[in-house]
Amino acid sequence: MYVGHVAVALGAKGARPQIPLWFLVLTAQAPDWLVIATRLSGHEIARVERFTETSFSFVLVAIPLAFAFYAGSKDFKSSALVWFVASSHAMCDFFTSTHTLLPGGLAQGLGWYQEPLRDFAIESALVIAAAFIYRRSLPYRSRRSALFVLTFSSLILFQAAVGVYLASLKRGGWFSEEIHSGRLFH
Amino acid sequence: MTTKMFMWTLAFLLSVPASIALVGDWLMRRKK
Repeated sequence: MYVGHVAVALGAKGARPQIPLWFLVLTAQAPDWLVIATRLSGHEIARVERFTETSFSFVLVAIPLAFAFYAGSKDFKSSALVWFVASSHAMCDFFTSTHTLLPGGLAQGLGWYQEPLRDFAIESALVIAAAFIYRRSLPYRSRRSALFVLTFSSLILFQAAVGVYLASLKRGGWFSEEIHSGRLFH
Repeated sequence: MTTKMFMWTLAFLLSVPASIALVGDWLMRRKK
């Protein structure tokens, strides 16, 4: 999932406004950043995505982040939400990818990246649902502002652009080999 | 395309919606 992870972070911000949004966004995308960071550092940590992109992440990624937040805030409810936001990554990826939730290379997932319209539908639905929850945390004057509409419509537009790219992959194109190989990000 | 180039592209792609959300949130919450 792509914009959907940011939508989960925005929804969580609406539910617990005391958690900084930057922390929620980082938490929601953490499994992907961990894969990118280990690959870019040149350390081929044996297929780190098997641990960060599957249900292992409920423990290996989500619990450390929830503990880190608890250590800084002493706020148990918010820390539980941080755990949920991090765990939501693998749950959300179940819809779009084919190798999530169960580790060990078993094909688990609906693989909607290969059906970009379905992917767009679910990710946009998440953004719209998040907008309604997030809105409650805003000052009254911002709730109906153009900025509010602009922010959320930009997210949906960007998802649409990625959807067009995903659709184009059926005819080859940039990174099609990497994406279809199943070696990265399953 | 190399794996590194692919990873940099993914990093850029991940940072776009994150930046939209963070900048939008900051602008909507700032005191006027």
